[in-house]
Amino acid sequence: METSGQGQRELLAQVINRDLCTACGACASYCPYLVSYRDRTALFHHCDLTEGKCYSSCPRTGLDISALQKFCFPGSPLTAELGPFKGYHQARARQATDRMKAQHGGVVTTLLTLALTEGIIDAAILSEKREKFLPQAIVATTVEHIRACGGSRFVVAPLLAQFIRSAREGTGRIGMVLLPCQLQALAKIRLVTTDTDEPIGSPALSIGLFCGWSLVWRDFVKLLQTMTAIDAVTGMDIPSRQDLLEIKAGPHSCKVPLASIQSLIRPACRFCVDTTSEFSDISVGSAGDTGAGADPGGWNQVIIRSDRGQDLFNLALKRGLIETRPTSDGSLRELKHAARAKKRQALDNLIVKSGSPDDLIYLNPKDPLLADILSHFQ
Amino acid sequence: MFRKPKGIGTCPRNNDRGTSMSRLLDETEGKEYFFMGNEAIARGALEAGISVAAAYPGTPSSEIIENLSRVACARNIYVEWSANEKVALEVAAAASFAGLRSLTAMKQNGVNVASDFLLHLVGSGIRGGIVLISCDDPGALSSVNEGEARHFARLLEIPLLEPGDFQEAKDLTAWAFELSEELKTIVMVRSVTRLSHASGNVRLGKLRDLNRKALFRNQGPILDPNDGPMVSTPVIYKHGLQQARMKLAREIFEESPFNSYLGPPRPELLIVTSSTCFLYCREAVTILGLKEQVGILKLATTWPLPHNLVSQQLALTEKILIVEEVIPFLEENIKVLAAERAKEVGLKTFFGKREGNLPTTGELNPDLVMAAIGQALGREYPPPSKSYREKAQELSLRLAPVREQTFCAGCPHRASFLSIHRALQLDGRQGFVCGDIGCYTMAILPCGFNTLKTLHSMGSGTGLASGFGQLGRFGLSQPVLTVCGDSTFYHAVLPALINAVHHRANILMIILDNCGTAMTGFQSHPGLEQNAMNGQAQPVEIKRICEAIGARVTQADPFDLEETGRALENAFDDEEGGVRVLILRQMCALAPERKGKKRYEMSVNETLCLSEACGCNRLCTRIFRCPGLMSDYAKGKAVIDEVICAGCGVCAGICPVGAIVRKEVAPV
Repeated sequence: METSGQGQRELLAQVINRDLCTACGACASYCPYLVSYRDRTALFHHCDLTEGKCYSSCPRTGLDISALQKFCFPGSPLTAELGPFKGYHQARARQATDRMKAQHGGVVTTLLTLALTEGIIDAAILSEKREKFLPQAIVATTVEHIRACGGSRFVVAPLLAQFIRSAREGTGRIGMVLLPCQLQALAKIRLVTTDTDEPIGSPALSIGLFCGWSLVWRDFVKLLQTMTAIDAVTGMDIPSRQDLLEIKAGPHSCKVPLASIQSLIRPACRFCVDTTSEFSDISVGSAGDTGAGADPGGWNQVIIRSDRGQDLFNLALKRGLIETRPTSDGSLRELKHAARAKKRQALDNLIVKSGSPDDLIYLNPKDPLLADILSHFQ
Repeated sequence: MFRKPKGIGTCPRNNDRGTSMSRLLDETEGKEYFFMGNEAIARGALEAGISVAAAYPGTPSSEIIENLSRVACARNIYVEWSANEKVALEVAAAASFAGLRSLTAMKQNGVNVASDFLLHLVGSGIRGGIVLISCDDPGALSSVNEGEARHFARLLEIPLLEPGDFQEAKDLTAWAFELSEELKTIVMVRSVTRLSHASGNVRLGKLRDLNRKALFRNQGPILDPNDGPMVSTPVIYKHGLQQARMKLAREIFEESPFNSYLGPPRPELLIVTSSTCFLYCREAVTILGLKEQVGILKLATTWPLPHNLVSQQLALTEKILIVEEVIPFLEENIKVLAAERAKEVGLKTFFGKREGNLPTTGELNPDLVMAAIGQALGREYPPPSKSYREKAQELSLRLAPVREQTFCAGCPHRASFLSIHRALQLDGRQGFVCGDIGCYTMAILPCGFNTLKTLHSMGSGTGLASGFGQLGRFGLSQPVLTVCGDSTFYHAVLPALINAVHHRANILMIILDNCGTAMTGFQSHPGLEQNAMNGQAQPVEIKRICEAIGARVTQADPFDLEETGRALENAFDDEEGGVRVLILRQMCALAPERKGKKRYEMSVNETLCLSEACGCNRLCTRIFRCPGLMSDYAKGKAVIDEVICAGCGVCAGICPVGAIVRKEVAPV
């Protein structure tokens, strides 16, 4: 891998100790001094090498979004708000039972299990809930295992580290469900390893999740413990248009105002410009205009980004596993608006942190996509 | 416990001629031996006919009791390694109360530990002769302080003797018992590292066997010094008694042959000195060729000062240089005397520490004394030339390899601290470890991954943690850890642990149990089945004590990095609060039972090891730093130094590519 003339010292100063680390685990995949632990990247020991893959592989030491999108999606149309864009749908799993456990429409689980049964992928790297709501990166090779991993986490797992490990071990064609920050990291590693002796190729399928933020595990668990027995928690959700987090514990549920979990948000999330997982084959989120009330499981919003994503979506439709409903221009506009707002907020936060509008820390201030965001609202 | 006693009542025969044991037992009066200072002190005690010796090990004092324990059987004395210095003094005092002669020995800060009892012992008085040997460590060669015990003599009003060479180390020790019985008070003999740990010629005196029968007389009236109870009350009366004893001591000291003057009748400069500083002074005067100008008054009885003797000497000169190490004790006492006797001795010019001629920290040496003499005489003593200094520096940089303090090969502490450090880093809440006294103190250094963040006296780690463990209510969110060794646990940790448990301090205490008092040379401690005389002892189990106190206790093998890591993770995740104890137990690699025995044969897979090319940045030799691991730069591989490797197997678990391979050769 091409190194950048910078190493652990700079990684610590510029990323880890600066509240920018997303805990993707990329650096830890290349270095025994850094380690993915729970929802963090921890430093075992100081390293005095002046150049390191830890630095060059990190998505937060420098991320040229336009350049990366051109590298990952050659020829795809790019939008400032939503990234590579081939189509937008509202969809859900046709079977209500498939939607029950999943968040909203159950599209992610349906697409992933379809990919496995069709032989598009051999295994899926997913985040699995473990004790005390601590998610772990796992490799699922059965439909049952994939299904068991459905549902929201709100806490990150080092999925990228697992992908690099699996790629080294030759696990085969891999499908992944990733958050925007993890997809950015994956894109960067693919780019910087392209001409090296250990190129990290693309996974056979990447499904991105819409994401506003994730939470610090330890603080989140502490909050949950004040409300319910932690092991009784069966799921959680942010119902649309309600500023609260709903914790489900079997038949019971309790609601936490979003304002009160603001302090639990991972600091790094405040500097993230991606809501819709722009580096995926296909991105899935909850549809903002549907409640869970009368319609169990609700609907998903789906953005198709690559041919692979398009093909899989079409196949699922063809097999009758998912169904769509007509979308309004309004809903797409609303989504774009939300995505733009998050980008703008992150850019503002970066400018405050750096102290200069010309310094976006890990982002390229000359990136035309970002310039577009900055030019609006002003 | 690991160590098996050799049996009860067995008395090894004195057939090891030429060894320390036979030398100590040699009855040939006048025969000269090359004795280590501490050996000379032990011989002095034997010549005084002691019956009991008790101490807690501490460098540079430990060899006194070690030597006595070797001849315990042959000389029919009871020798023990006590739980701490205060208990040791109490054990020795009991013998004194019962009419026997007894000795206790400790390092300088051990006197602090013993001082509370010492204060009261001064009040109660004694029966049989009792001597406290304090081995001070100016320069802190093997201490984390530069404390001084001399000041206790003035503070607590007891006689203080300071031997100036090896012969005096023996002779003064023997005489101290006579003095103790004559004055009916404990006597302090103060040695320093350079005396205790150096060696010199010593002429033997007569070995004495007093054949005293132990009996504690206590039926007499309270004021009866011979038959009454041993108490420090009524305080004013008893205090007055002690001061009368000190007056008597002063008179005795006026005539003491251990105080001597060397030099011209009316010197241009008078040096007053004591202890090994006498040797530095003598050397300095000789080198400068000032024997006709400079006189040396060497005092062995430094508290109370023999007023007449000192003032007679002061009267013979104008300039006085006082040479002693660390804090000016002698200097201040002499100045007070000079003020009191000003009419008699006249106006003097003093040189020493207060005038800045000598440093108030660190050890002295002849060079420093020569410079001070030069200043006192207004002549410049030429320091080593600049070119010489530069040459020496250049040579030492080029020829002497960098040797940082580190744990031995196969030391369980290295493995323990690797796990503790990593657990703290994984936890990520800026947790910290309060340190304590033992080999593991070195974990303030890179060899222990700079894990310890506080370091004070024995037991203080747990006491500090107990305090930190209460600060959650003020916003402290960092995990609070402390470490202590097994011997330290018994010495001073127990009260702090009880305090922490009782007050529900939120702490994790890690006991680094290496099955002995390793740092000072494997003396026995209360956890072992063997006492100082190789006899059977009742082991007091740390785990059961902690459980009984009410801590939640787990145990792990520090050589098993996975097991230890899990145990630490569980302890960090334990949200119940209060005291958790994790015992990391593995015998010291240098323990006689283990030394030279390898559990694993270690090797490096040279296909896997890429050294500098790996990207691991030599984690094994740069971070783990076991002396058994080396980096062969020419070959570009890590290598095992088979001679040094202790075969603990731990490094196999740290190589990121698994290039260090272990093969079990001797199952534990």
